[in-house]
Amino acid sequence: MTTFNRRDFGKLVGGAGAGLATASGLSTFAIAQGSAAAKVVVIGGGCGGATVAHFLKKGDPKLDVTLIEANKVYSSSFGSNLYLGGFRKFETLNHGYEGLRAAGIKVVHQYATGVDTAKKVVKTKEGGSYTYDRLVLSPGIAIKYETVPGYTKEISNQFPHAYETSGVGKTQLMKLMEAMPNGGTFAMVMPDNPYRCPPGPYERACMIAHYLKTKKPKSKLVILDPKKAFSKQPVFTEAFNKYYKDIIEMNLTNDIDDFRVSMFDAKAKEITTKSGKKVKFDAANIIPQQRAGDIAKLAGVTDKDWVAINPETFQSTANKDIYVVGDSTVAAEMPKSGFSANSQGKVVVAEILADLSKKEKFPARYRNTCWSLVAPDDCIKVGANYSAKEGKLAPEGSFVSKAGEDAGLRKQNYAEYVGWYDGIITDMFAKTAAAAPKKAAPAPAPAAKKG
Amino acid sequence: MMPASQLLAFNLLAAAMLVGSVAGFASSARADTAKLVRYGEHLSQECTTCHRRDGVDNGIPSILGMKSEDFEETLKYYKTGARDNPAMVSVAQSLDDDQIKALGAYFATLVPAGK
Ligand SMILES: Cc1cc2nc3c(=O)[nH]c(=O)nc-3n(C[C@H](O)[C@H](O)[C@H](O)COP(=O)(O)OP(=O)(O)OC[C@H]3O[C@@H](n4cnc5c(N)ncnc54)[C@H](O)[C@@H]3O)c2cc1C
Ligand code: HEC
Repeated sequence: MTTFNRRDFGKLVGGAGAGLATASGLSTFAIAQGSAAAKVVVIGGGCGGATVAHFLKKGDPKLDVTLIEANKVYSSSFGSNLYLGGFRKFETLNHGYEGLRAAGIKVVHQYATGVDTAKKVVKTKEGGSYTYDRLVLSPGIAIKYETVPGYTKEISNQFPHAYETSGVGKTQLMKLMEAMPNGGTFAMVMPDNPYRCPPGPYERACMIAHYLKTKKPKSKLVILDPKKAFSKQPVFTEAFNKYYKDIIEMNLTNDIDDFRVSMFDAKAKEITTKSGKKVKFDAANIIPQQRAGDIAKLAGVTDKDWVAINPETFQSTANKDIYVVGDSTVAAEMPKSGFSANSQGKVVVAEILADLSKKEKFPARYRNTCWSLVAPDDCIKVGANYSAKEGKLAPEGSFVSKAGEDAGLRKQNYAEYVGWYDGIITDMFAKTAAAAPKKAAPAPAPAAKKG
Repeated sequence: MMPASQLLAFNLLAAAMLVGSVAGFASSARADTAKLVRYGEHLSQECTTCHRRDGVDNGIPSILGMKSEDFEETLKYYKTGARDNPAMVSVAQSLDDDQIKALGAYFATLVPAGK
């Protein structure tokens, strides 16, 4: 598949006349005349892409919205650590696209393999061809296996990273835990920054440790971390010491020891670190470095591993017809999270609706909140809102759980975590209520609801 | 399919807009309300990552159908910290009075499913 860059596009237009150049202008005009609808193609039906498709169609039912998503079932990464800890059933992580279809979105289960940015056409592995006026990419991450020497995609079938949006890694991790002897060693290799969901690996460590503590209490969880510090560190460290003192061995890189992996040997079941530490394991979860999903590169919008965007609009800095949201972007200081992707998606929707549907435009608002369950009924959270400043997304109104907090507060956090999971899934996939709400409309009551 | 609650809001909005444009200044108050509700609907996208738009409460309370005065009062409690849930304090402190008013006007138009 050929990808034209902007210079080629210029030449093409120069040579072939103005017809091509006004392709998008034409359908904007067409919309104003009430005839053919403007076309938006979205690639990737996850936190970013599903949200964009849903709210575009909601905002302007006349828009022609196509969502290209490889999988029929979205098996969420967020929430999946709770499955490993035994707090969620696997099936509850899986969601279909019926709601989006019912809303009038053309959901196509194909794998996008190329973008002709001059002709504005997306091609798929299955032979599909989709023209667009605006293209939105939210392909999530791809794994850089080579960043952990000895680790490969093939080996990941046995010792998974379980970090892409797919069901198989999670169930394989569960199988490894179940097959492990009581007294065995589970090894976990942490990624270096930047990566999807900064607290994710540490929540996973807690959930694996919880499984071992309750099912195989003589076992160990050995963590190897190339970083010197990590997200929500004080509260995670508190949890490691409070609940999993005899289970977790944390090896955080410091000035003396470097715990970056120098060799992963799947046959010998042994990991060697830069500082020479060797860990023999029965089960392992390896989380390598990551980059933007392949289609971002094929569309010509990547800068090294990630996509550069304008933080005010999430429009690609390389191609103004393409918006990119979610994990595949550099959106510092917004973390790569499902919450962030959903929030960024809504900003893109407002941009496109203003542009193609001539809707009133309001200033962008960005927010993130991430909860992590560290033990039964003990949940911590972090969050902030963000605004574009000097080419970055600067946090404001930040909050983070503190060590030594009240148990009631932590339990309330867990209720919110469960509620949020349900909320964002409903929001992404345009699900609607089958059940009536549990509570009547609330009245303001400051004293009754403190904390 | 649009849930009943959204349909209702949608109809209200459409009606208000129609009246606003046909009858001119006589119904400019209603047009203002429609504008407020429209702004509120836009802003509500930030809320529905957590609060379900259909009013189901699975851990985060429903905020549908609240009287707008109650709504505004509640958000001010978060803003001042009288109610201190950090996630909601962060939300409330990022909103100005006009935005809170718009959100209150919008959520008041929504009726929880099954009501
Ligand atoms: C263990 C773990 C725990 C996490 N916990 C949380 C949490 O508690 N809270 C939180 O907010 N976030 C959490 N996250 C992060 C969250 O899952 C991601 O940030 C989020 O999924 C990013 O959304 P996205 O749209 O960028 O990518 P995704 O949600 O991964 O969606 C990308 C979609 O694109 C599809 N796709 C990719 N390429 C193509 C192509 N070429 N053609 C067709 N389809 C394609 C994929 O199949 C996929 O469905 C967690 C992640 C992990 C791994
Ligand atoms: C990060 C998740 C999150 C987001 C985003 C969020 N809320 Fe909340 N909201 C909560 C939680 C959790 C509570 C319950 C807090 C408590 O116990 O006081 C709550 C409570 C409320 C209440 C009080 C309801 C009651 O039962 O008394 C109102 C009103 C409210 N939110 C409005 C909003 C509005 C408006 C927005 C969008 C501008 C919003 N919220 C965004 C999580 C969120």
